[in-house]
Amino acid sequence: MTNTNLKARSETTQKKQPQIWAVASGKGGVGKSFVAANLAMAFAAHEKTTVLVDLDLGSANAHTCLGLTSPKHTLSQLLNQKNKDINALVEHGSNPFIGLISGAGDDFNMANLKHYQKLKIMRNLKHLNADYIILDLGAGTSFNTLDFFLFADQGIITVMPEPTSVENSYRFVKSLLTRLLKSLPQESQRLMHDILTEQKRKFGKIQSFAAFLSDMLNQHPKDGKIIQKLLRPLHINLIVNQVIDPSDIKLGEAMQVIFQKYFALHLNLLGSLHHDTHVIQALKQRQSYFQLFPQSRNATCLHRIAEQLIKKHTLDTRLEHPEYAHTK
Amino acid sequence: MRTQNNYYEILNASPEASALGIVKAYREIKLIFQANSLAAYSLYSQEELEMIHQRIEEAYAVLSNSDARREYNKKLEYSTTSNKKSASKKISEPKDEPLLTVKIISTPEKVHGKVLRKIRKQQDLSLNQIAAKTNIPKAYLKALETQDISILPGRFYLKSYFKQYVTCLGLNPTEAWKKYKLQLKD
Repeated sequence: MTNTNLKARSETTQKKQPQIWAVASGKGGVGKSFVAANLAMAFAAHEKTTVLVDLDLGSANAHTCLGLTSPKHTLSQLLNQKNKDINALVEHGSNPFIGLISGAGDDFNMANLKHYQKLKIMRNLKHLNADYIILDLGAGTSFNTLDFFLFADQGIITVMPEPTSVENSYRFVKSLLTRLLKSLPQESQRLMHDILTEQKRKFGKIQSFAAFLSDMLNQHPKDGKIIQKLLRPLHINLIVNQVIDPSDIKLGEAMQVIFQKYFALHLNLLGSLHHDTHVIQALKQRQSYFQLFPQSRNATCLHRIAEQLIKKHTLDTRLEHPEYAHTK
Repeated sequence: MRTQNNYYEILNASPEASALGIVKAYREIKLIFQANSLAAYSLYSQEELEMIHQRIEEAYAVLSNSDARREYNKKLEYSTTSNKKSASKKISEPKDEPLLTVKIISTPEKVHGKVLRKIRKQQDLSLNQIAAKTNIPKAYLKALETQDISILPGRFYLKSYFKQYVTCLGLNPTEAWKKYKLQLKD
């Protein structure tokens, strides 16, 4: 699957492409759609054309978070019609910098995308006229969610300071890694299996991913390096949402340490958002929180996060494509 | 079989950390791995957590004692330099050491981006190496070589970055800056 992801990506790397961000979480109800929609608004506030794509298929509701009425165009049109231009599906509200492609629609089969449908969406996303694309993914660890997360340039995991949410976000990362390792050559998979069996025999259970990688590198350096290479494009960011207690903010830092020690992955902390009853209030009025409460603590924080991400992205683009050095 | 993490990695502390820094790192790592820690409980079993705590204590016992730490640093330096892969992780580097070991060369007649790039290639240095040594973003170093200085944050930084960069190349920073400045005016 990841091979096809790579193929889909390399086809179009020649021209300037939108940066794709995927927002996911292991558990439902932790604020994925809220983070995705409001981060999109924050990018737009910096005058970056941003398209929010609601990939929470089957229970799409990002339009409400953005403060848009029921969308006329939906993703199912892309799948059901031939040669449909994805740019024609983008709905706009009052802000010209922000657009939405809704996943809601009459097609009740949308929740169970077929493989070729998923590839069609991935291929088309690259042709969207935008600076940033934000994918609002569904909860859980279904293959579709994992593949879209791996397909994106950057992934955000949203977590709430409560055990179930943290537990499920680890589960999500484990599923991601398992999905990634499935694309290894057969021979490497066999060696991998041997190491895991050995760990089980020795310790009674499978050790951390970091320990597995270290064993792999020590015993089969060539295959270990293939795994390292496979992990390199994986960029995971974290937003701690619905912080109530000041000590909750520490959760992000703690998870960062654990990520390094358990998964041997770098977790980039984007920031924390506070619990705020105004979120519900904005939803009830069916308006975007970011627009309705631009001075709130969370809106300011999202604004700052977007600013940092844009700066970093601009610098990275300059390094990779010097020909764009003068474009903003 | 498995490469054991060094004590600094166990405490998640920098090898350059002060004594207070080690205490802070120790406290934080103890909190992260405490039995009811939100971030750790679902990944590690009770026994594993106990083992981790044991190793944290072991690491702290050495690193919190200045004599033992010095001794350990020496040992670590030996093992890292003998192991080529992690040779870059050098511990307690004296500060007055030259930035990178390069041949000192005289300043050429004309100093502009292309010449600098040529010198860098001759000295067998990559932008990444210089960026890592000087903490200057690679994009800025590249800008110095392409003379596309508009992306630099300001005139002051230009001079400062330029001087650090040419020092790495083995040039005299003051002389090189004088000549580079003239080129920019053209």
